[in-house]
Amino acid sequence: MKNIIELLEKMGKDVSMLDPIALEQAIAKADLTPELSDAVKVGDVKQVEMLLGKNGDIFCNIKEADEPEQEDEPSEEVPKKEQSAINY
Amino acid sequence: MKGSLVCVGTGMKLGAHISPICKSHIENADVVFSLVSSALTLEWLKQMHVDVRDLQPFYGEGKSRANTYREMIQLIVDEVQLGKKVVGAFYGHPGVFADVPHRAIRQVRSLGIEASMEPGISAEDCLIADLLIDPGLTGCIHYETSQFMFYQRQIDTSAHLVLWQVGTAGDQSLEKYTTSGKYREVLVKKLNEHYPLTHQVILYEAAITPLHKVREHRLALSELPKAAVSQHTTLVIPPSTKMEKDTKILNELTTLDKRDKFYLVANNP
Repeated sequence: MKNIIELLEKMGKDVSMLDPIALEQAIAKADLTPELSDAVKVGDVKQVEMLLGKNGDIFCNIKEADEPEQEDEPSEEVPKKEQSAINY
Repeated sequence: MKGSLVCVGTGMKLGAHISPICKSHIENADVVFSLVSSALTLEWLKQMHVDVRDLQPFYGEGKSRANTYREMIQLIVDEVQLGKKVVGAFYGHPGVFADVPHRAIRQVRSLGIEASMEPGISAEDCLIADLLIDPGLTGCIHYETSQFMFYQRQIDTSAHLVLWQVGTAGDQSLEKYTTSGKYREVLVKKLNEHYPLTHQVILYEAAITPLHKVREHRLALSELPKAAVSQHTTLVIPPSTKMEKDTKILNELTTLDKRDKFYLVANNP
C-alpha cells in the first residue's frame, strides 16, 4: 500500500511525472504488481481501487440545504422559518 | 491538559493541493478525524499519522445525514474534551459547503476550548482553474442545489450560477446518496423560469487523485435529467444574458468625477 500511495502523491505534486518516461521510471521504482502498474499507467482508478481492496462506496457530502434548528451549542438568533421543508 | 481542535483542508487532489500548514497540523495531532472523497486519499492520510479515524462509517443510505453529522461532531468534541490535540481533515476546504467542521468548531469554542480552521483548495478553486472561469468578469453566485430548490433565491442571468451537490438535488429526507432524474426535472423547471432549455450548461467534477480526469460535460439544460451525475458533480450555468448598465448610478458617479476634477483644478491652478 505504501508504495502505491507514495507514487500517487508524487504524481500529484511533481510536474515531472507528466513526462511519460519519468512516470514509467517512477512506476518501475515503486515495485508494484504488474496489474497495479498497468492500471496506474492507463489511469484506471477503479482497477487500482479494486486491486487494493478499496472499492467500497464513499459518500462525503457534509452540507445540507439547512442546518438543524436545534443546535447542540449556543447559537445566534436566526429568523424563524414559517415551514421547514426538512423533516428531522 | 487542555485539548484543541483545528479543521484543515486536504485540498481536492491527492498529493497536489495540501498546504504545508495543513500537513503540519495533521502530522502533529494527537488524533486525526478524516472525511475525504476517495479511499486512496484516506490511505494517503494514514501515511501522515498513526491514528487517522475515518468518519465515513457514520453514513448509511436510509440514515438521516442530520444524525450522521451530529455523531461526527460529538465524536470530535469528545476527543477534544479528553484534552487531545484533535485535527479534522476534510477534503477540499473545510469551511466550504461543509457543516460538520463549522459546527464542531462552534461547539468546541462554546466550551471555552481553542478551535480554528485552516483553508484548503476547494472544488470551487479547481472549477475556476479547470473551466477557466473568472468570477470577477461577470460575477458568480453559488448555491447548494437543494437549498436553491427549497427556497426562493435571486438569480442574475448575467452572472455565472454554480449549483453544488446536484447529485442529491431535492433530497428532503437527507437519506439518499443520489436522487433520480425526476428530481432534476423539477430543478430544470425552476431554472427554465430564467434560462431557455437550450442554454448550454456544464456538469463538472474535479480530479480527486492524479489518476482521475476532470469531467467537463457540456449539455443543454433540457438534457440535465437524463445525464449521469454523482455526489461529486457540480452544475455550472454560464451567463445567458449580458450585464445591463445601471445608468442612474453611472450618471451619479460621473457628476462626482466632474466635481472632483473641478476642485482639483481650482486648488491647483
